[in-house]
Amino acid sequence: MNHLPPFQWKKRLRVRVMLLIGQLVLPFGLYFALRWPSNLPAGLIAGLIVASMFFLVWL
Amino acid sequence: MTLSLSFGNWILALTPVLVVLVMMLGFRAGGSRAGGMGWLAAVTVGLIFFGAGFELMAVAQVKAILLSLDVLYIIWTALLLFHIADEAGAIRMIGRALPQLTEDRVMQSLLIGWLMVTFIQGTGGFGVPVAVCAPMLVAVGFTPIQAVAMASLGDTWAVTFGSLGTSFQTLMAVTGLSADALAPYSAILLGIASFPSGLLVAIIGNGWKSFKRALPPVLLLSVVMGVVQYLLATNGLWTLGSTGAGLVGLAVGFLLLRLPAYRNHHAPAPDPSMAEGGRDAGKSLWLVLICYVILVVLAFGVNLVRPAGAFLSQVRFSLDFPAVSTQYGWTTPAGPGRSINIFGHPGAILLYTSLLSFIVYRAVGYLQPGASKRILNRVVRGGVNSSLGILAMVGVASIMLHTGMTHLLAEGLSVSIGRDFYPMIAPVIGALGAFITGSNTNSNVLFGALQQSSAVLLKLSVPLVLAAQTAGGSVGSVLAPAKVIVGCSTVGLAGEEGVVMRKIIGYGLVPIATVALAAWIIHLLGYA
Repeated sequence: MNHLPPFQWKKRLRVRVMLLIGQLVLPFGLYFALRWPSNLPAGLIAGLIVASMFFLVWL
Repeated sequence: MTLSLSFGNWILALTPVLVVLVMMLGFRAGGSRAGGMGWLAAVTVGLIFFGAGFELMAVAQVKAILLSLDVLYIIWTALLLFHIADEAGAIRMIGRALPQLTEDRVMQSLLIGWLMVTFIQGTGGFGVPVAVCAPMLVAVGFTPIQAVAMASLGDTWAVTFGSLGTSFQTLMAVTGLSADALAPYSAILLGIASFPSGLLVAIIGNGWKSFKRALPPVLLLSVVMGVVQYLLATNGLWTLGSTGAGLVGLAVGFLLLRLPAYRNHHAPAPDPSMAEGGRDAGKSLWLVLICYVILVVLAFGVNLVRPAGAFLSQVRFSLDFPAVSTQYGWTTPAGPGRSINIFGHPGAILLYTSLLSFIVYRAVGYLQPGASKRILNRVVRGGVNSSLGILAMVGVASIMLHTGMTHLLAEGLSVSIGRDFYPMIAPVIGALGAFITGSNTNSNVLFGALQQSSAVLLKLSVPLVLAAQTAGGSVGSVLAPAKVIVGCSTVGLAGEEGVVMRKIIGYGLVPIATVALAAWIIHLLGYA
């Protein structure tokens, strides 16, 4: 990442920070969603976690 | 029960690890990308072939985040301490001071990459020694890749009795055996591993031509440190095994520098940028190193002064998890996940050290204007990539554990090897567990009981097999992608972990093979 121009580098860093925060927070949402009667919230959060991993690989 | 053991199923269980290795070693991918690919592979294999359901995957992932937070706490605070020390000039001044003590590059590499790493491993865990010592090695003129490889391999032998013996404590807990039974063989095997560990540090830093020159000090220091660790471990002081060995090793190392042969051996000049005193003129070396003194004092204080440790350990964060099973019946029992000791954690110790050091440096005027902003920027730049990699890698380990893949891998290795050769394979199983999970402690949790059962079934010495397990785990843990990421984060190699992995994997097989051979010879000689 260090070889990128400063503007692109900062943008990419910001995206990665957001991705990190998402990956840290989403599983806790999943933990609490698992206790709800409906599976929909848990399914949605799980989908977001998988999508975030695809995004990490792509990034 | 998990999937039945067959070659095909064994390869399936290995798939996530293979994906990570191929990405990092073959495609030189960074830890975060390789970890992400490994995570996707683990989820796919787990869901399709190992009968994992949605709830199991969710529980595995949430537990992985708790485990990751435990590690990230250390990474971020180690980075903070490092950048505060760097801003105050500590790393540059070490880079200038060490060549004044000795110009001998072999001794420089051994002092920092082996002896200091061992000492710091005694009190710090999860990559802290590498994170602290790799920048020092860069400061005296080694390349960042050499620095991470040297500090990692110098640490291979010190993990089990390091971190105040956490891994060893875990081995005792999961097997129900006492320190009296486990300590002697563990200390012997790890002591033997210290010899290739030291030699590799010298060779990576100075090339094969340094072999002959490094041999006498490495032999002397490995015997001294091995004996000190053995005496401490077998006399009830196993919590101080690595610390004591590292301290005595450093003392003997500095005594060696008084010999003319090791004081002024011709050497290439260190990095020219380190040679000028400029902005550090007038600073005291001892005052600038205060951060490391504070670190050692706080680490010892919290761990050895029981009331202080108990006071700081009152607030813990954890979550309760239900039991989960695969459709093949592999069950992970209900219970709490990783408990994070908010104020007594090694990461908290690093945080206190960072804050105190910052206050001291500011008070004595060692920090330039705008230092806080620069420090925080560098911490974020260094920490984000590493954290993404850790999250993915720990996720892989957790999914493999909850789906029974890890168990199947170890079972496959243990049943396909006969009684005579099992002591050679036991360290490989320990190393595999540590490589996957990034932790000697976790490897002992995963495979301690399995190795014990195998030893009983095969009528082998249980203490010898368990010693081989934890010694292999000690070596394997420092080769793990999760730990390499930590080391890379402090020398500006974030995102280039694959290059470092390529360098250390091959060398890392040497101490594993040494431990395997030593365990086998002890078994053949019938001492066990």
